Amino acid sequence: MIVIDALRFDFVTPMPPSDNEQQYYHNQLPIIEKLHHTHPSSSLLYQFRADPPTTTMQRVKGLMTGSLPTFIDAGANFASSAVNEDHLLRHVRQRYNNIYFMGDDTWVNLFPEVFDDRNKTFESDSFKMFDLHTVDNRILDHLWPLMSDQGYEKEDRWQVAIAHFLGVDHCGHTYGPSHPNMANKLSQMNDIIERLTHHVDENTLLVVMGDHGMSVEGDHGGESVEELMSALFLYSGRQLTMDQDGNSKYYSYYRDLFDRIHRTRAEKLGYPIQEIVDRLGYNATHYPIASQIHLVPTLSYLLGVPIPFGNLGALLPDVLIPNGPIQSKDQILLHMIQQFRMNALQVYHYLETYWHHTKHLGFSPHSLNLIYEHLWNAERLFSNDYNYQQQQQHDDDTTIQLLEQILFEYNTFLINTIKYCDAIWAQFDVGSMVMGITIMVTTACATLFTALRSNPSVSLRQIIIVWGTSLIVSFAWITLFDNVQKHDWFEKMGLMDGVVAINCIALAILFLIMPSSPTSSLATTSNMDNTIPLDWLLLVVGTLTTAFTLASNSFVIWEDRGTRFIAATLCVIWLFRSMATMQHPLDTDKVLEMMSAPLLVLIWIRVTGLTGQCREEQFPYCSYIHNIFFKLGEGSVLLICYILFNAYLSFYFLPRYFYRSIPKGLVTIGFTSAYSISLSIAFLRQLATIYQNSPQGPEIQLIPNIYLALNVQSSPTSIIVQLSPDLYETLVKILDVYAPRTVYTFTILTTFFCTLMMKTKYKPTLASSCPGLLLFMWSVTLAILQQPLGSTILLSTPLIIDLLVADQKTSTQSIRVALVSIIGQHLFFVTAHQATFTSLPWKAAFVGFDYMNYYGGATLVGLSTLSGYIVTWLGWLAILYHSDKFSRIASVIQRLSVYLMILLQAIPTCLSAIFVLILRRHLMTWKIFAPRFIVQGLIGMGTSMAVTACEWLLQG
Amino acid sequence: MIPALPQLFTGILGIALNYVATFYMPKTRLLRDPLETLTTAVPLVLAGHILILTFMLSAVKRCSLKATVISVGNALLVTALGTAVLHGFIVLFGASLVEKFNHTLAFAAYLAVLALFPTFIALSPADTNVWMKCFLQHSPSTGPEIYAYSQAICTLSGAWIGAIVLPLDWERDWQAWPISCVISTYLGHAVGVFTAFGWSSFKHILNKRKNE
Repeated sequence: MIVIDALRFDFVTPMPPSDNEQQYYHNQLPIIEKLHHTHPSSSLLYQFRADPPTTTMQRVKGLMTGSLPTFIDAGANFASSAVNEDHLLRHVRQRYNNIYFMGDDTWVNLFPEVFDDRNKTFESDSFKMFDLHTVDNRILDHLWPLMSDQGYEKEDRWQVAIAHFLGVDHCGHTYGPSHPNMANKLSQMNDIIERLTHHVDENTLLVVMGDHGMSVEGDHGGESVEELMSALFLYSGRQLTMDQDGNSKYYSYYRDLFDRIHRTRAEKLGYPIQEIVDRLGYNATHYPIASQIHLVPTLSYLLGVPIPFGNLGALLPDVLIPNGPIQSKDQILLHMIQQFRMNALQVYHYLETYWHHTKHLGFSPHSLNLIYEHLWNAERLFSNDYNYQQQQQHDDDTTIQLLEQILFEYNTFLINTIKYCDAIWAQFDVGSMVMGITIMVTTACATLFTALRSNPSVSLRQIIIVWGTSLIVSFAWITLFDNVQKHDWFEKMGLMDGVVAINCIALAILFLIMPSSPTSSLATTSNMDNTIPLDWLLLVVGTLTTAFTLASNSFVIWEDRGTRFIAATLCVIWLFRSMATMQHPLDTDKVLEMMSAPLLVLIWIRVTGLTGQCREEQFPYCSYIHNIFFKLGEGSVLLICYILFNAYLSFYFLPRYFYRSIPKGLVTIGFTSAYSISLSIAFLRQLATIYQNSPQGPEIQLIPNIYLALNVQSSPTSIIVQLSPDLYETLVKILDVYAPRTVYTFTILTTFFCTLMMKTKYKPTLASSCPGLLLFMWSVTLAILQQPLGSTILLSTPLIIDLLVADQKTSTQSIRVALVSIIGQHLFFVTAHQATFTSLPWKAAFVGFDYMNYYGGATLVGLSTLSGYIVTWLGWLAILYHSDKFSRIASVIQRLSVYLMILLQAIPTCLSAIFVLILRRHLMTWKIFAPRFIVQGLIGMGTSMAVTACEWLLQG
Repeated sequence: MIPALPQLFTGILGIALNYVATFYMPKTRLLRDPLETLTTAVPLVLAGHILILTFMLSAVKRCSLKATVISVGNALLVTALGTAVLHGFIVLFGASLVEKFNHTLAFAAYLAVLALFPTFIALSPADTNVWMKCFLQHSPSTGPEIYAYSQAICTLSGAWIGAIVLPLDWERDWQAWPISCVISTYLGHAVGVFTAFGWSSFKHILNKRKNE
């Protein structure tokens, strides 16, 4: 069994050559079509439709258990733990002792009890691989001896061999599908399959399949057509399906029958055939579409093992032919019915057991009645009518019709079950959702309320009343728990979860009813310059309005542009507000100075907005410069300009700027050198990433080279210095592991010192430059977690934030606070993130680690995703720290800014949660709203912590 | 008594002129051929506004010929400059620099005429101080000042609001760039005139009360 990760269907099918685009991935696997053509009866080719989420672990799980995935599984892609359900490999293992495995270690993590023999399992780490060939070559090292039985004892010879190739997927992630390397990789796969076919005899079955497809960008995880359509190819030395020569009498009838079954399935499950044709460009009606879970029963049938307990898949009809010569037309039909019946009864048994075990109302015989009806029908027809007809000796046609009817009834039962389960397993626990939203809204209100008031005090009586009520409610909850859960409410919640939740709400309410006086400084608001509260109110209303766009899928899809639009608007308002302070006669220098900051920020936002990552929904109206746009060999002039610019930035401009921005002293030298070292590390890593992403032939990557000169196309004057592999390994290790760790250490130390300095006020001048220091150091840490372009942009952010801080006018403070927040969101998109699972930056987990470290990796991925928002939080600190704290009005403004900071995230977070609740049955929930809500939740949590830290540091 | 009657009159005249020049007179329809329609509409609107400005200056405000010519020249100069600046800002707000360049330019010119000319019609010839008080400190006080300020701000805001429908997936003709913005610019100007009327009347009544 060969699994080729991310094998999209249009990779295997012959495509007409297109002139306008370079489609390196087309027509690279001719062997499959050739076999399909020359051996029509012993080969089968399907479009293999994956169930989202299209991440490898979920797919492997689905491929072997035959069950449907649940959404939140996608996040668990990081740490795959063993499958506890019944699965195909368990049965295979019982029958065939010698199972060999090569490739992706996901399989070993999922099925440890099957792959327990270290001599037969040759797995490779699936996340940590930095070139296209290591894993695949390692597989091949073991595969060929295994196939030719070289050096294996007779009792150790392979019976089942599974190889999971990762090269194609990795090539997609690194270079995208349209790349010369993809052509190389696919033709390598072609050679492998071709060579394997020589080992296929009468008693061998070769299964070639992809676990999922590949998006236009080369990634996967989501549910676009490109990601879902993979390929399944079965090939054997013996006959697999109807043979045109031997049974030509029945051939056309059965071909037609199979087609009809496939067509009904495609219709029932609603496969978007036209969309596939439009987006992938091959004729989707030409090959049957098989859902991935159909593989389990089909393989069970072919290998002669029982179907796993939890399987929901249905048999593929094409392979169901009885052994031996075929005497009559209905012989095959009868065989098919028998197999379908076994399949249907297995599924029925599973549904029944599931109902008895979980008491899930959706699986009660009552709600499944409509589906069971088909099964009963089939059973009745089969046992009564068919027997009756046999006795009556009716003519062939009536019998065939009856048998067909029975077959289709079984088929309908199986397919309707899949459809039903697909819908019902996306279950919603409205009770828990409402509870969660209540907690969120009450705590947000309580936070604001306590921030607005001073000297909060609470009387004992109030505490008693509130806690008493909450105790009573908790008690009621405990006694009614079983009763409530029967009605589908709160079924995801444990007993204690409910008690904790009730107490949380009680606590929030306690804060809300506390009698307290308004903060003294707020009282002065009334006799202040009235433009400030006006701006503040406008911003809150604006936030509310933009938060409402989270309910519209279009606005969420195009949020990157919306963010830029809002950012530009805020810049213009900032410009207006700055200019309002100007007096007649105009001083040209002053005007320019005032206009320059907003305009520079505006231009910076527009220019950086040229890069980013497209959501798949945005095509074809999206043409970002990819974050790894710069490559060796292509557009060398641009690349040299980019590298020179980066070198200028990280070796001259930024260190100098940094040195000037902090007061002189011994500490300054320490900070500056730490910053400069970090910058040069970031620069080297950018170069290394550009090198790694460049399209060299595979042979160059095998012999480690380091290009010292850039390959200028016109004059090939490149100097290639070959290093010994050992030295190369060491260099790579230093650059990938030790260098990032140095940066992390510097950043943590700086954070520690700055916090200390700001709290103790040991040296006031130095303390006042601390927020800036933090921003500079953190920007480098965040930069090394990004791809080159994003990294350059992040390195430049402290300069932009400095422009915002330098303004220092209290009248523009709330606008600047809001602008920093929007800039953070803008950076989220600019550094190639989107609110989708497909765009999660898994690679960031290995910056500084050469092995899979769960917590370290998760933290780094989180930091990489939230880079922009971290800049926002540090920027807020800088703005507030530099505002004039001694005047009365300024302190009021500062308080207002803090509320604004809370509101800017609390409003979208609460609304986003409410929208997900309202739109939970929306077509786009899983694709658009739910991922957006998860991102918003992360931001909300981070912001709450950041605001608390800000407050703590400001109180000093 | 209605304050700043000539300004109200020219404002309403402006609305009518804009309507006729944008939606009625061009042979092509805005929804089908936005670029062709705008290239006809912009000169028409410009010519109409120049006429109104000349009439306002010479007949209503009784300026000398020289002053009239200087004011009209100023208005043309500022509109030309404004077109360039607004084009820049439209790009900064997210329009493509290369793709549909002519569309963006035509829209910028349309916006410049609609936003800037009415201010000249209402205010000129006025002192620099007045202009600054009005547009830098955002505190227009007299009737003409309110008309100038309100029309400019509302037209620009109208152009801004028009962009909001662009991302929606309704697949309507008017969502194509820059049709929705052109329409909302026109509406913004109209709203500006009526806002100015309301605002100045309110202020007038308030002042009257104070005086009594």
